[in-house]
Amino acid sequence: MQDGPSGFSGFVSSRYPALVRYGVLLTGDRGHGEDLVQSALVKTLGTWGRLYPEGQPEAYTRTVMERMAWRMVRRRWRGEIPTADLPERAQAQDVYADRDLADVVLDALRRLPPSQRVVLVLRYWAGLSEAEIASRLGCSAGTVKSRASRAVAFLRQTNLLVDVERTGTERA
Amino acid sequence: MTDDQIHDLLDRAVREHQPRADAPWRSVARRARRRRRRNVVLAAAGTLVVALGVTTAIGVVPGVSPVAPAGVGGTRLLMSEREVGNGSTVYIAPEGAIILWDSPLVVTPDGWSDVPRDSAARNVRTSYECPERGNVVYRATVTLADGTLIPCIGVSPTPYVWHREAEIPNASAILEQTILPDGTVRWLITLADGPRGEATYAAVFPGLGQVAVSRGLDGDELLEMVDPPAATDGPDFAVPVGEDFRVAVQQVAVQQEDARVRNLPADGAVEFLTVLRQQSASVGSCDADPRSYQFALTDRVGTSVAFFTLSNVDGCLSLVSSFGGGRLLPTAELISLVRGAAAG
Repeated sequence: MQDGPSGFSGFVSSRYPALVRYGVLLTGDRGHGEDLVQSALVKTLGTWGRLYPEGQPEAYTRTVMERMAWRMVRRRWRGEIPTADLPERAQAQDVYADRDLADVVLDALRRLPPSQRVVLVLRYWAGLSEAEIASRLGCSAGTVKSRASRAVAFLRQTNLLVDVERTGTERA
Repeated sequence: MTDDQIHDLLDRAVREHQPRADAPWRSVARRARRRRRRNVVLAAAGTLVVALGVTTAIGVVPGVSPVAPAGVGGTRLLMSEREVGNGSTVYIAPEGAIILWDSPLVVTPDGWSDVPRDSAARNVRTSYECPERGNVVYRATVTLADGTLIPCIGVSPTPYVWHREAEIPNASAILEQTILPDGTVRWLITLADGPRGEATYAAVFPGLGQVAVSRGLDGDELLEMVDPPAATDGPDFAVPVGEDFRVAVQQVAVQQEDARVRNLPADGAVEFLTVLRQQSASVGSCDADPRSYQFALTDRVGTSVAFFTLSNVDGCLSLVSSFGGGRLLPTAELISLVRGAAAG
């Protein structure tokens, strides 16, 4: 168990940062995102014999992460209390603007219900179709559509989309 | 706003993010080992659940009637604990493993009715089911003395109704689990190609005598399950504080003198734990306090890490955990843990 099964430690080392970024989006929190990845990797480890070298361990891990994040809708995390107000947003010329924007976006993601957050990430970040998302999460396409719509409406409400459009224009 | 702009927004949120774990493989390995330790405890339930699906042989304790009580279908698998003490009887029913016992402490989350336990319902029996794969939350049905059924979701005071999340692959080994009357658990593994392994653990459910033999478990997985326990898995062990889990008290309940169960703020548990810690420091101190608490610790994703049950109903402190067996004393670490959760 020191080095794990053949190929697993190499897979984790090479894909961990990307998986964590995915986990952060799925959970809206950097710590939770890393937790999510590690929990998913434990499951991947348990089925590694069927995933390596012929299978697709990263796709499997990402699917596990998505389903775990989706199931969080039925679990209640009591250790954190969401705040009513978003933190102050960055000025356009702020040298830390990207970092601040990241914090604001993650804060907004945290405020979304898990089901909306997962759908939003799968739809707009992973680029999956509504039918693909419905298949992966085991729900209807209508559910996907409505939750994506609500999530985007929430982001609009926070003016995040205005921000990203503005900063994009300024950079251009 | 276009899809690309939303994608850009999300991408910029994580573009510069770097994981905190310097050696992620080691973190995953630690978590996998911790999961295996839990599985050793969960395997008692896992064995039962497996019996529903792929188990081809089940050892039944000789001399036990195979007849299930009225209203419970299935085959009686295990010796009634009443025959060796006060406790549960386990049945394998089509919908899952069912464990019956005298009404235990039941935690009812928001939206569910508390379970009355007055004198008229003293012989209440509670049925715990764990019918769903990959789901550690199970349903409980409390049957009152008048036959009324009250469905609820409960947290078990003992771990053996937990359902293992592990998938059970093709048959390649036989697991024989023996829980001796003194609470010692013996695991005997026989792989398909002949090698046998044996391991012994201290159990957290003493007084239960049972033998369950199941076929259909993967040999490697079983050997991992009986991996020698870490030093902290002894009769007294530590709360997993300081590891990469963020733990929190998920459910806390108190059983009051009026025999009703209600949720309790975690800070109340801190006070109780502190008192019990002081009591435990005094030799021979065993003040009766008809209260019990349950703590379900979760990681930051929400996966249950361990259950602790602290009971003083019998007039003597008893604190057991599903985290690998043994007794857990109300250490300063546990108090700190609960206090931290209360503050959060």
